[in-house]
Amino acid sequence: MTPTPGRVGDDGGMRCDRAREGISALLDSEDPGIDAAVLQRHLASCPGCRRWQDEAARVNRMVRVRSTGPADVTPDLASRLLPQPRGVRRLRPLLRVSLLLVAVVQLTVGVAGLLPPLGGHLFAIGGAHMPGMTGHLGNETAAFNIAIGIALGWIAARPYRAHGPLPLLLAFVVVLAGLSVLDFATGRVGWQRLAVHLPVVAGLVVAAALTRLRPATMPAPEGGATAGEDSEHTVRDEAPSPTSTSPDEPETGRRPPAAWRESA
Amino acid sequence: MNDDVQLTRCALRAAHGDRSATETFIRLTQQSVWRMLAHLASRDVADDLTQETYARAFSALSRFRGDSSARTWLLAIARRVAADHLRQRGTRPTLVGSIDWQRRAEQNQPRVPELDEGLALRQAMGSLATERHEAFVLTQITGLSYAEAAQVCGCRIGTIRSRVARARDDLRTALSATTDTDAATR
Repeated sequence: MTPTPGRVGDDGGMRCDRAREGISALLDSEDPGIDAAVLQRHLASCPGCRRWQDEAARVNRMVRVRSTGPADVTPDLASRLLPQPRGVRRLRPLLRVSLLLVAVVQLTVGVAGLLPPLGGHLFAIGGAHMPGMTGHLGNETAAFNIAIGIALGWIAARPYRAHGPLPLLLAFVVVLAGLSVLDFATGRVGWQRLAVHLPVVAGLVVAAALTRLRPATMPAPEGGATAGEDSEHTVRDEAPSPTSTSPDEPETGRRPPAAWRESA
Repeated sequence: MNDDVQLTRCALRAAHGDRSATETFIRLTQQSVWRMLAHLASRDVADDLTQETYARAFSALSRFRGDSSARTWLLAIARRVAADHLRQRGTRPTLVGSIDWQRRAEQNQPRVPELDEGLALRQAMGSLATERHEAFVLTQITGLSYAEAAQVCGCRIGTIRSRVARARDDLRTALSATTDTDAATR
């Protein structure tokens, strides 16, 4: 209890700050925490608290009228707020682990491209087994494969940020697929070499799936009925049925703002 | 009280994966959550903070036992979301962008002095100390009882009573100061 300057003598020593707490609580129809008779006696003898009471009541009216009226309409966000089904939520960690594995395989492919060719190996991952793949070109390819592996790992670690690298991945896979079909048809590449591209394709698919599953920032469906201009009606119409509320509670709020009752 | 009982039942059913109970729970609560966040933080971020509130609520729902009412449980989460947001931003905006005062004034109160008064009120509310501001918004805007506000804030009823009174005192001082300035300039 801090001492206050406004101490009044003839009412049993009630201090003004306690009296004002009581006045404030009574404005809210709450328990004032002090004896009402004592408070009345204090008010009768303390002009400062009487003025405080008037001014507090005025502030109260301003707040009720201004901050909580029909114009203070809230949007209907239900479509954004619904949690995803449990199965979808469980899928997420699974996808991230898979993406991490794919990233490791892709990195391996990239690093293997830097190593001397493994003659006769099943997938012939080494870069120099084909004409034109020797020297700097092979290194370039390896660097790109390593970069993609790192990008996939980054998405696995930060699925929320997957939108950055995704377009690049998509472009790479689309162009690569087109060229691969062409090269395969003209016999310039064998299926073994094409198999080396599989991790990139798998990575793209998993990364895309992961970005569709963002739980906390899932965008509202485009053009959804709930996000449009009729949202105000949606919210208001779906307020609890009158049977579940007492007659003086037109809205979901427990104590409707005075302004609604007054201006309705 | 009926509302709260219904809501708590909804929350418990939602915790067991009842989809329609989840939808009802959102429908019955989103307005007060949004409005509270609009006042505690700002109208601009209220959508995002509402989303964050429900994301946290649904991931914590399995631990909700119905000991307290689901409404105060949810609003307590919303209060933490707002507090985290404000901590990240470092400050609270002095102008609480939560009241469409201009539109409302045009509809109902076309007199210009009323506009000034509304702006002054917003400024005064925006400069309240955080705890007083919370207590004031919960009891005056959200319409909670002191007991419910105490549950949301995790403090005693007497603390709410004192914070609301001090908030009123601050608002009274701030508003009479602006009125005095107006009078002096005229």
